[in-house]
Amino acid sequence: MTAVLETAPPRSTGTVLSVRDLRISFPGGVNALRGVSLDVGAGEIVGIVGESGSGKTVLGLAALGLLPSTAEVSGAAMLGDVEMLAAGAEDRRLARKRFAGAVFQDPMTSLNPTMRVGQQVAEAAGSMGAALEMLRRARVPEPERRARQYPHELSGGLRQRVMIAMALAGSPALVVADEPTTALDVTVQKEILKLLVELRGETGASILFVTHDLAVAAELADRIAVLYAGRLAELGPTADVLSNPDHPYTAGLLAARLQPESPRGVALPTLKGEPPDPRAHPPGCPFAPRCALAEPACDDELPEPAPAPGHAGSVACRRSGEPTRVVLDVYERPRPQEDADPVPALRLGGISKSFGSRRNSRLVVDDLSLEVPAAGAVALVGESGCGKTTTLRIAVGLERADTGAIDVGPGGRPQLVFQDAGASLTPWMTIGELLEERVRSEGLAAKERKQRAKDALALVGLPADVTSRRPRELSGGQRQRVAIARAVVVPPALLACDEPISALDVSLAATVLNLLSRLRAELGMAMLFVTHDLAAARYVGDRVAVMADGRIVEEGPSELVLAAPSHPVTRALVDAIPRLEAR
Amino acid sequence: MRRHLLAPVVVLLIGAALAACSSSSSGTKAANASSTTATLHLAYLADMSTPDPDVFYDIEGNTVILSAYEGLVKYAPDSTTIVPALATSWDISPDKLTYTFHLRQGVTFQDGTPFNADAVKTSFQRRLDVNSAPAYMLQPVASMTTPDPNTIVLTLKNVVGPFMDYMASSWGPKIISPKALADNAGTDHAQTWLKTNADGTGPFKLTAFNRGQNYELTRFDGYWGAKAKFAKVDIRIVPDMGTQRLQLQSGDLDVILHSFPVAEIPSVQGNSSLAVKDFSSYLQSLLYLNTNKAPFSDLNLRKAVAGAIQRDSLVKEVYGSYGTPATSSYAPGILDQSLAPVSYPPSTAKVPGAGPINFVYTADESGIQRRMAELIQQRLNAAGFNATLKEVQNAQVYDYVNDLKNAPDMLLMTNTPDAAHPDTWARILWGSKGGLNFLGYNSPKVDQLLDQGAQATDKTAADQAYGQAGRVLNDDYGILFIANARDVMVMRKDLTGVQHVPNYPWALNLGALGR
Amino acid sequence: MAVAEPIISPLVIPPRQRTARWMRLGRLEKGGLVVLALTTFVAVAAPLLAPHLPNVPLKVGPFSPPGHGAVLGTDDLARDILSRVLYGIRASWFSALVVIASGVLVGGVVGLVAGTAGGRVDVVLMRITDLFLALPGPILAIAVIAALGPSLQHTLIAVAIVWWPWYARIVRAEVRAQAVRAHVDAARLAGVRRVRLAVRHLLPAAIPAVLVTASLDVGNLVLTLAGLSFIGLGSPPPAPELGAMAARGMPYLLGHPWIPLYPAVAVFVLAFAANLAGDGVRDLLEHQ
Repeated sequence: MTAVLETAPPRSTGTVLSVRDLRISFPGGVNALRGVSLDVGAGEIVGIVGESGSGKTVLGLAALGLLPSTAEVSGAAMLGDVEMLAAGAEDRRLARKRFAGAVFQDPMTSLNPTMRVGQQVAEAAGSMGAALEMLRRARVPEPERRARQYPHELSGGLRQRVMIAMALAGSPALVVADEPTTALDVTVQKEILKLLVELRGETGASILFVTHDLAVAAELADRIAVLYAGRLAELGPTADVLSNPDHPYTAGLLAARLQPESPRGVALPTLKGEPPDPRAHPPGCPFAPRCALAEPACDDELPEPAPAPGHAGSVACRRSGEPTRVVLDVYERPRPQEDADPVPALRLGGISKSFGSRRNSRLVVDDLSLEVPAAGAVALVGESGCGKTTTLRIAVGLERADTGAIDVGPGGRPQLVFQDAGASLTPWMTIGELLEERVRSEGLAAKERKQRAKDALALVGLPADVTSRRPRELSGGQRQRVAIARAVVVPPALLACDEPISALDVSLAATVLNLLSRLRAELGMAMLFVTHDLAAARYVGDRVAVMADGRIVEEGPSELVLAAPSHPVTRALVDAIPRLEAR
Repeated sequence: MRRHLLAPVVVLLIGAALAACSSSSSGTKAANASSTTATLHLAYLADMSTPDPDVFYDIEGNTVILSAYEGLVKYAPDSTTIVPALATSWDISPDKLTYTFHLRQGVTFQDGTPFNADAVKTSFQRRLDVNSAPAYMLQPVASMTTPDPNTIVLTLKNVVGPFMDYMASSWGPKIISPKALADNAGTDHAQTWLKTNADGTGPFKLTAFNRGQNYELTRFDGYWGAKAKFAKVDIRIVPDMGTQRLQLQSGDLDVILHSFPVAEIPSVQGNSSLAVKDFSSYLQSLLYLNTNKAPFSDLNLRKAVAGAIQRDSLVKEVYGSYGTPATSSYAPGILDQSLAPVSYPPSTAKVPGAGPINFVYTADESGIQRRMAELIQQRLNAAGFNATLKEVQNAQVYDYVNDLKNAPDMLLMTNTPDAAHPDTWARILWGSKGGLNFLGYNSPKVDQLLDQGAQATDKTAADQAYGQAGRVLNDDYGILFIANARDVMVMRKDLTGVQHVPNYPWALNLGALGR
Repeated sequence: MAVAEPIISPLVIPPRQRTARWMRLGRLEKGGLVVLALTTFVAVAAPLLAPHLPNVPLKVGPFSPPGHGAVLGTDDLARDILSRVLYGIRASWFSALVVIASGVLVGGVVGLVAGTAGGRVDVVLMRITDLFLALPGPILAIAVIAALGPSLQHTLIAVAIVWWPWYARIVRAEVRAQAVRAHVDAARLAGVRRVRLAVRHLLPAAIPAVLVTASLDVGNLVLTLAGLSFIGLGSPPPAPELGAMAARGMPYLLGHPWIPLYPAVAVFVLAFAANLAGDGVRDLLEHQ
């Protein structure tokens, strides 16, 4: 295959989507896309990978002609034979009907909650018979029964299958799938990805697969396009890009990704800094401020995509001709203090918890026992609904167990880092107030409290002037750091973390894991780490406990559990970890 | 609940819009509406209380009562002269205790029953049996005899000076068909039936009584006298004066019987199809002072009020040419004005000792009462008083006498006597038990003089007594007599036979009215 | 590959953003806010703006049409209508604000206590609130005034009695909605005490909704109070109140329309501007 430069004229045949120099900006000065060109061939799966704010979602919306009317657009986006940027609303609707289907992250918001799912699919498929056929093809078990149900009666995975059935109902040439598996459990994610690949084989539909996770894209994409700051950083065949990335950003993403094999004793490699503010992109290469290879010229000129030296795709980097050598922030992971106190930081003894009314109750935690040694780290792993979060909330005292004993060791109340750091910060309070509030119980003078807050911020790598800001003025990563700072401003004996990285981009997740590990070591905290991601569990936890149906089904040293899972649930979780290997 | 009160504003704005439109279109419809129609259109601002003549004791409704029913005698137009009605003549014994009425012959009730002395007796007895407010006029009667079908003799328990005036009053005894009374007697002397029906000898039959909507009067072709000219009279309930005015201008209404805002009269005077008529009446605008408690237990303060309100200019400003400053505590025509004269020399001086006073007034649709009250408030406050003004309903006013210590200090109201006789004014207004003596003026001397007047067989002696009763009140400043008000009506210019009786306010003789 | 010293890359905090929310408003809402600002100015400065005292007769005499010595004419008592309307706007304005302030205060406390405490306290407080909500406002006003006598104060008391429950409900609903959010859990874990939790972490969530309701209520209240004043349930005369002025001027509607009309127009403009401004406030806050 010769190098295909996407600046070439659109291919007349075999191209279902052709995007040329697409530029999109929104009121408030947000430049979402800044000149992107891309083709999707017939039957091809193209993975669009980028961090939040990279413009990947906007690209999908532009392809579907679903941009809000406030967007300022230039360039071209041909879907089939329709120019979706220039066409009127009705023409775009017809084009979508003829050529396109869509699957979004949260099917609950895309499905009509008041309509049976069968009817909804039938609206797209034309008849109930066709709808049932589509549900069958989407591997919905018992399609006749499911068709009569409402969206809320279905599990997340089934809802996503229904969405896929709807998307494929009109035999579209292109399906845009925007983070379709992000909200799903890893095992379900694996099935959905498999389904998409199979359906592509059966129907020949092209798929534009938008994701923040390079590994997920690697599972199914033929080609991968890496977006950064509204620009195409690198585009090429999946295997080539993974094995031989020509853009330092791609290389950084690959290196930063937490793998089941990542060495536990070493801090995770991370990309330094954060993506640029989409309202104020630098004039030169947007990645230059974070790039170890950057030279002064990088800051002057926006690099244009050029044939990649290392593979059959293209890359936009001045230094791409040189051997890719990524310099990441890597440092040795500090060792936890070893003077283990014989009194554990947390001991849960046979706790149970059920929710709901007396008549209609659901047992969520079922006679669960768990111990977190002083200064130790235990990772609690399981799929959604297994009771791991409830267990965590009981451990920190936010929830009361129905039965069982909770012993928190010396050192005061455990603190919790929430899954959504943004939501855990009271929006109308300043960071300073939030931090000082935690110190308040210590009975310190106002000046001292302020100093403690600043110290805590320094500890998590935030400048002191953040104290006067409110949460919404900060980026997601900064908010996560503030949340951690609040949890440790008075160092607790036990720090509980509820999926603190599941909503974060790869590099950010690595940064947070590093930060947590460092704090744990420096402050001598024990850690209870709840996650659905076995790779993260292994990396953080000395021991891993796997939960299913309110019970711990397997527990042991983390390396051991991953290397030789004994319980089927554990095995399924291990299998479902996305690997950075091209198919 | 939150938006209910938008209504008045909307009404107001729509009203304003209508007003703007109507000025250009008025008169066009009137021309063809008035020429041939045999229906007279009237309007009431509110329902009359009842068309039952033995219960009715208000002013609104006079037209219905006086059209459907007749008494033995009545007042002549623009006069206090008592003239025959169902009685053609009458004799009064020298001791003033026996009244013999010779009845008109060939009269039938609207249901065809012949009229005779028994019918009179039946009706009079019913009034006593019903025993509502107007029953007092017959309570002095000791016996009623009917020596022949055309004669009825009434014997009184004692001399009652105003007895013949009672007979002529619009609230006086009316003769109701004895057959109707018997047929519909029920357990309440036919009161239920008479609430929505009428059966008298008058020129009009009450053919519909739709409360809240309209009343319909239909010409009684068996009437003994000159037949009515209009075949029908339609009286609609139009509770808003603005609407009445628009309807009058468009020809949908023939007469506005009362409460036309005086200040607005110039705006209709330019309209060639309308006529403003004003008639003498006994309506007097009165300012009651509560002499039973401070501050107006102090005569000097009462006197000061009389001066501070600058009555004469006040009357001129509010009534213009439709009212004059009262010259006596009796309306002209009731008593020689010189027998109980009033005058209140105006004063602009600060009143020493003036303080806060509670001042109430009864509202009327014309705005005259309100305007008068606000001007009085303005002037009193200028004199150093601090008057708090409040609008009250007529019904509230009757309660004050039960708790005079908590009653207002001052009340502005317009009243009219029951009949054209000084007793029917003085007794109810400032007699100690008077029904309109709202703020409890109490003078044993007055009560004694009133009894002396009522029982005098000689008119001059009686008038002297009433005059003196008035002078006692005037020296006491218990009630200030503000104005003699004209009865103002605005009507279509083409109406003929307009007859008005001073003692029948807000009413025209519909039997004589034509186009 | 390994670096010995842990490096936490210092983060760049984006500069503060002050997007001009004003720019997002529609022309009508902007107009409403401007008129509202003007009205507030008029309300505050009425004594300075009014050419005459509201209750003193002018030399030009009663029923003087607009223009001749009195800009908006004189009423039947020769008082300057412009001055009375200005004072009337002031009275309407402050009355509405007083009712709203009392409603926000009482309703806010009740709603906050109910929403924070939950359980039986919540049930009892909310049933009481429902009870007050079921009271018919104007009828209650009439009853209160019948009992206490006519005065603006009593009218305001009556209206305030039926007004606060709306705020109690809003605040409670917002507080309940916040109570399950992560930041409240976080505050609890941080050892924040109940009162501070309620006041600092829950209550502020209700502020936008309360502000929007309050600003939309201004128009409602202006109309309600004008209506009550129209039917005689306001300040006793001669106080310049818009509703009462319109009512008292009604007999002169056809011959001297300026007497009832200008007060009515003032009510209309006030209510309309308040509603527009309310929409504006909502638009301003919605984007937060």
